[in-house]
Amino acid sequence: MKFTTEERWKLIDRIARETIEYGGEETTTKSILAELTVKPATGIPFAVAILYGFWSFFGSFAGFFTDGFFVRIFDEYWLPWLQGVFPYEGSWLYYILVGDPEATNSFEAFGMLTSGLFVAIGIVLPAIIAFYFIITLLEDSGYMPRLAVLVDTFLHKIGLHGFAVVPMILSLGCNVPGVESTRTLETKKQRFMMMILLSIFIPCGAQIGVMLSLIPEYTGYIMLYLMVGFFVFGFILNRVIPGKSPEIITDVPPFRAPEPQNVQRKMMTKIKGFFADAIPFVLLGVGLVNVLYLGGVIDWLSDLFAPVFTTWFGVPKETVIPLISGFLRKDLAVAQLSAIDMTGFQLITSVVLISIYFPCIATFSMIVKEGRKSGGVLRVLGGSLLVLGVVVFLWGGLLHLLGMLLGVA
Amino acid sequence: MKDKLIRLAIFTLGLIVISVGLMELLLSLTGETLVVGGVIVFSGSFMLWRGLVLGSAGVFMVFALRIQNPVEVKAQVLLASIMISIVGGMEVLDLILSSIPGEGSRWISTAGEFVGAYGGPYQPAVFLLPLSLILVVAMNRNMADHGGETSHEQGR
Repeated sequence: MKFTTEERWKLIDRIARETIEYGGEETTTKSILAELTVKPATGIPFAVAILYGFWSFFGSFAGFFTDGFFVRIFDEYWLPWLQGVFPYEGSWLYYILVGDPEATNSFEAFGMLTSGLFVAIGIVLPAIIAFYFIITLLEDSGYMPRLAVLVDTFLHKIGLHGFAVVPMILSLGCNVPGVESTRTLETKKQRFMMMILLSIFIPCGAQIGVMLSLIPEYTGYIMLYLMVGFFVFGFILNRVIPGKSPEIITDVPPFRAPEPQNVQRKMMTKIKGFFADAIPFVLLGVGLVNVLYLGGVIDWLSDLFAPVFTTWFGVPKETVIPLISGFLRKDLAVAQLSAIDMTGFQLITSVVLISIYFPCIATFSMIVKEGRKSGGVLRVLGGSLLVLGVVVFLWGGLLHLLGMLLGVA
Repeated sequence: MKDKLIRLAIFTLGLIVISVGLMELLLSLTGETLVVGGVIVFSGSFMLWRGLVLGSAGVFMVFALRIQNPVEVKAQVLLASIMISIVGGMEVLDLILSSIPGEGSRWISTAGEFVGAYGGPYQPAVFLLPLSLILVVAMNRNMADHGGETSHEQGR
């Protein structure tokens, strides 16, 4: 005898009705508060408040360490010292490890020990600490399962479930912990889908920050277009990629105050993991980009793709250079775009392209690392590149088409 | 008498929070900045989100007055208060963190720079934060005077 899902749930309900007796239930402020956070009318605005707090904390905390101290340490001490003591200036080794000998800041040096270390420690590490701190608080307080319940129905439409909201939130700050946290999803299909979707459609905090400071008038449109893309391609990928998207049954615990010792222990484990796993990948990734630069591959790609950019996407060919540097730092690439002479719509298209064309080096390294647990590195990388190619051409081209129809492109 | 006062406070604070939320929403759409009396400033990158959060918190407070069960009223006001505290608390945190790093060659701010960073004007949520916390404390005390907060309900 075979039951459909609906019949199975009805049977469960019937068995529960006939076998379980319910006693009196104590209603306290805490229990009502817990209930209010999962009811859509009160729960959604509360979730928006939590996300706002999450984002603000990230901005203040990461900004405090990165802008207040790490930029100065790397630009005023580490970079000049390294440029002074490292031998073989002008050699391949110097270029790969230290980068541009004329660079005055670690943003632009592009060496493994300069930009690589700066990205990993100066930028991603404070972001990771801030995000893991908040995520741990949300998990230990009992809010995370409530958020998962709240968005579960919505995410089911694209083959994911409520807990997929965790990588989404993390990625809004930094895609690296976002990709890392996809390991909490049940199936290889879900992990692969989430990695792809967030690395393409969710811009990181640094990129959003630069967008807001340089092109605040367009940021809303860009985010909206990316979010629509997230759900459209999620819907398509769910139908195209083979594999299961199982239902989850989760226990929603009562609210409780997080234990400082537990928070500390979880944070330490995650930060140690970041040092051991992520930093070597980021450094190797920077080294690889430098080798490609020195081998002339990047210049060759620039020449190759210039006609595609001007005709298919409708953006100036100069956009190719920021797009390539976007592989290292997307926020820097957005800043570079603002210096190119183009129309407002071309600027929107270019920023969208920077977001969707390829993940940054740190995220890419993390996808390679996590790919081992999600169906194999080659399979994940091959699949990712295929999806990326399709998304860039379709979603980027569609934006150009929309612009032409509206008469602004 | 005390109950009536607390209900009046919930209603008044709710209306103020709604007004602030609406103002933030409106200004986020027009892209303008507003300074009120040199002390309160409506500005920043996330006005739209702040407006949504504060507007909803105000509505929760006002609508809490339609509920009969005092425990439920308190829970809903507490929910709104947490939302206000998140917005206000993050502004205070940002103020503190941005006051610490020094200018130029100094790593840490001088005492003058540090104090100067707190000179204002401030986001409205900074003022709403203590008001909402006072309200929750008053509700707690009032409930304790009435013999605690737990009520019993028959389960399903």
